[in-house]
Amino acid sequence: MRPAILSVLMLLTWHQRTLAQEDMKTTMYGYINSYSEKSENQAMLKGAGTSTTRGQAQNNVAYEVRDIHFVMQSTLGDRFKSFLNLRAPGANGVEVSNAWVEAKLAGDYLSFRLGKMYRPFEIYNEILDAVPTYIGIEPPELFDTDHLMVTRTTNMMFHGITGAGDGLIRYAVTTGNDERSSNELPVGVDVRYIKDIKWTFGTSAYTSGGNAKPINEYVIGGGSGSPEGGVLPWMDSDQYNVYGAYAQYLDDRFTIQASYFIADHKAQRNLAAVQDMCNTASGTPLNRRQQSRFNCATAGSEDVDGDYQVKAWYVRAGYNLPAGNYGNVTPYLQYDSYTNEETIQDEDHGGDNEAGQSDDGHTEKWTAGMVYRPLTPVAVKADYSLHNQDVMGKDGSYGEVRFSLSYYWRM
Amino acid sequence: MTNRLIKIVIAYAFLFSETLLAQDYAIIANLNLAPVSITKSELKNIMFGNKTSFSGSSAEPCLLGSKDGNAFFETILGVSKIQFNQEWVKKELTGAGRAPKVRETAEEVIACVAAAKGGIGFIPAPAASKADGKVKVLTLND
Repeated sequence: MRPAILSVLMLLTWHQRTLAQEDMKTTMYGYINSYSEKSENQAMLKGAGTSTTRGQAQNNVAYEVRDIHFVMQSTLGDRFKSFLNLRAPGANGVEVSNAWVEAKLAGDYLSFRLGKMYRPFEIYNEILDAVPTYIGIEPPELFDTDHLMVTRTTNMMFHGITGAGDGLIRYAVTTGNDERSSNELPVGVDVRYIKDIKWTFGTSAYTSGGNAKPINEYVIGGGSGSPEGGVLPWMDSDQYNVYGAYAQYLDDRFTIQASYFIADHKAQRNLAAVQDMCNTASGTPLNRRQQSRFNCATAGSEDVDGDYQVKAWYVRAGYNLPAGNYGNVTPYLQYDSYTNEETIQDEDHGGDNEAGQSDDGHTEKWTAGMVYRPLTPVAVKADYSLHNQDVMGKDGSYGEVRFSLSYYWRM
Repeated sequence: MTNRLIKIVIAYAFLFSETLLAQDYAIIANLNLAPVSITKSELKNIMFGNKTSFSGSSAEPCLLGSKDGNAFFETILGVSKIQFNQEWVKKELTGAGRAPKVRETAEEVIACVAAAKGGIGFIPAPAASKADGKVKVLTLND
């Protein structure tokens, strides 16, 4: 017994010395993003089911502390890393955005990460929290919280970087709980080529690996809220794939980004959910396309075959103008296009109040704005967007003004 | 009159660009590191945190934060200093790494590079004489 205890003590002493010799560094960061928006009065679908009519919504000025983030990164030598990202959306309550540990398995070539993490996907999924650093206020439609194409977070990742000529290839394979029904293996992949920092070309793909189910299931009468992934709340099951490509150019003057993604869904709707949406007394507003897709006209024979496709693409460009000791100013232009045949208008039921009210499920957004950065940690952003969509046979375009002030801190 | 004005503008632009190009930097590294040269793309990848090891050691970049260092970002890294810092804010907020250390004088950068096993940094070329025996000066290749 004694040799065993001695061995354990020796091992612990050795372990303590090893830890002491290793260089542990912990850094804390965070940011606060205050936000305000005012939309012009917007055309809306009113009523429920087959008795839906065209109306108008009164939009007031909205103020909010959209995000408060507290971030902590810790490294132990050059092999282990941990990361914690706490978020207080709307300054109410705290949720864990990211919490993971990582071990390097083969230098920069291969690392293993486990916990809750943003999946590498397209240009924006990982950096969406870094509001002060990018042009624009709203995320691209791909990551709009009303209609995510895929869950932003996952649980396990193998990733690495390798040299390729003058550039680098960064690769990542992810899996996790995501939206799987039971034993499915959802897989995400991202591969990007980065040349001289200026050029990035990448592709991302995701498969649900079989049946997926909504994280926020449909609630009769409303209340499910926005989907947390690619599966709409009124689906019983959904096998889906997302794929696309993106590119970025960055130099001391220009930032240019473009991205194109498609999601193919083979889904089965929940009959009770469809019947609830179609209900003319207690249901939700549906335009003719949606009534037809759900076959609302024939009570008891509503359509549960929910196959559909989503397309999202954008182009963003900014031009950096140094303003001497006053910082720099970056005017920017953005165009976003989004098409979703399946979504509905009511956000409380998991819909989207743009594509969901559009006659053909298509909406587009033109944005012009400016970022003023007096110092690196501070970003003052203002922009105007013109949303274009047809609502019940008429033009449903409306404008929206946004203002954002964000501050990044580091300890 | 117009031609004369154009000539003055061109001459001024030429003079201005010459000033920028003449701003030369010495790339310095810890004495423990074996390499005597580094390519521009390798240096960029280290400075942006895409490459975390250099010659078998964990790369630890040290930056010159004073105005003397500003042209390094534009002429060698190809981005403005503000954009460089923004890229690092992105990385820090996503757990992709920790921003390089920043020192205000060439002497402090030399001390920073000398203190870290994988230390690598840059200083204005005229200050390289202060580095003798403390750090090595690397040849920068395209």
